[in-house]
Amino acid sequence: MNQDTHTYTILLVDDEPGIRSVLNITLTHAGFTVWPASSGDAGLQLFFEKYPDIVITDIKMPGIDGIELLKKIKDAAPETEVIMITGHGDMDLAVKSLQHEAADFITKPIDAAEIEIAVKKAVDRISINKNIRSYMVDLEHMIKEKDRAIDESKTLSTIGQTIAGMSHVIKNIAGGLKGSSFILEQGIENENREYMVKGWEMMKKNIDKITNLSLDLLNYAKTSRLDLVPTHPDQPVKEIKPLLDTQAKQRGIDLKVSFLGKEDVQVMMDPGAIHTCVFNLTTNALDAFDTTNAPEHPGQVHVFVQQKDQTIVYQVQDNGMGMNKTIQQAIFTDFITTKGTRGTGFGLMTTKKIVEEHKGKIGFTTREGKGSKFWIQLPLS
Amino acid sequence: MDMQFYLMTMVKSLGHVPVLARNGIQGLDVLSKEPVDLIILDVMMPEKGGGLVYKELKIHAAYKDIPLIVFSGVNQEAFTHYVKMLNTDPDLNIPEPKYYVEKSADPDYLKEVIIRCVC
Repeated sequence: MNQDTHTYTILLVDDEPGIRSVLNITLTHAGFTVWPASSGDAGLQLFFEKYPDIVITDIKMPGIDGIELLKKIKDAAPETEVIMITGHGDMDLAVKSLQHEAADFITKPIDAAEIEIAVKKAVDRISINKNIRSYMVDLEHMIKEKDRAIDESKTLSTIGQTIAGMSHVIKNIAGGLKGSSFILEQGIENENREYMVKGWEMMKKNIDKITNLSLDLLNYAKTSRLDLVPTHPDQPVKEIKPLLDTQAKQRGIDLKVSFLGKEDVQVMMDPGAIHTCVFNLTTNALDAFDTTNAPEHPGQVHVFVQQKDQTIVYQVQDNGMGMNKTIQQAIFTDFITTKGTRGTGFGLMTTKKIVEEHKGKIGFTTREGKGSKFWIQLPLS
Repeated sequence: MDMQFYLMTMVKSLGHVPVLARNGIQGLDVLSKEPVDLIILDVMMPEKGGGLVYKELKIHAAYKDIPLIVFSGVNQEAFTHYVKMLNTDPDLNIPEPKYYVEKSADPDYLKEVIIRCVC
């Protein structure tokens, strides 16, 4: 038996003054605080004033009877221990009260020892329940702690992958730089102009690449501090055509942008970050054309801004090479690039991160040899 | 493209004559026409992948003893694993590459390996 220092409180409901007084004296003597009530109604009222730990109630009473009182108490405060007092031969009522979650029942005539045992059992159950509750709270705390630890380790492993990917990219650039410096050296040694020009071109490409990498890294880092403001969905794509049209024309690709047009639409977004996303998808689309072979059909890249239900969709569609299965599986997670020496593999990862920070979605459909369609979906505020 | 030029320059600088093949199919075609003293094989190529070309070279009686350098953007463990996977076929016993140079390796190292192969 758990002996804690807490004084337990008992609501005592009985319409017979004799029983009330005997029980009051016995239980007070046993160290409880007792609140007597002479009817079900009075008992219920007192219950909601005092919220006792234990209720002892007669079953048969005028007005609200014991069963009714039991139901109401269990509805309001299920942790309350309710002990029923039944007359001799009221077995049906006793069983019924147990079905309604009474803790125990004692029969008249009341024996002081019997009532003390019933109350002590109730006290035990209360303290056990209290312990269980505190264990549950502890457990929940522990689970939360562990969840936090798991989240942290996930972040760390993402950082690990990021670093591994970066080291691969940097290694490739270093390889390119070493190769170009070798060619340059050969050119200088042998006074071979072709080598010098070629080596220098190659070196410039690698310098561009390392510049792009540092920009990509910067963009990736920026995704953790987005500045969300109400923005018209057309705004982040306004610059796309002016920025990329020359590049598109050089490659013989027709770049089209279709705006939403509607005036009164606003999305919570970081317009700069969403611009980066659509820009990335568009440059990817421009890169999806095989420039070494003459194209069978004129290249087209089409950027749309559309409203679909409660979302704004940015879609970038091309009729280029499409992607094979291996590439499809890796594009959002790995630093893969299909762009030979030009790509770093950071673009789509950054784009995905930005979209997720906006609680949006990103996806694609593609057919090898036919083209790809990438879309970003942002929730309308 | 740049890497092809780099490799050709390297081979020429050592006084040898490079023969360029732009993919695996061309490579096998070149071999069938003229004998070579060394094969430098990029494992990541368009069309026929370098891994499959490596396999064909190593099972072909006329080619399997030609010195071969795998020149690759992936690390050696990845390629070794690839070879092991090929060898799960009980009819195959493809050796691991004797010379493996990563693309990011020092030009001096590549030079050394080429010299080792052709001398």
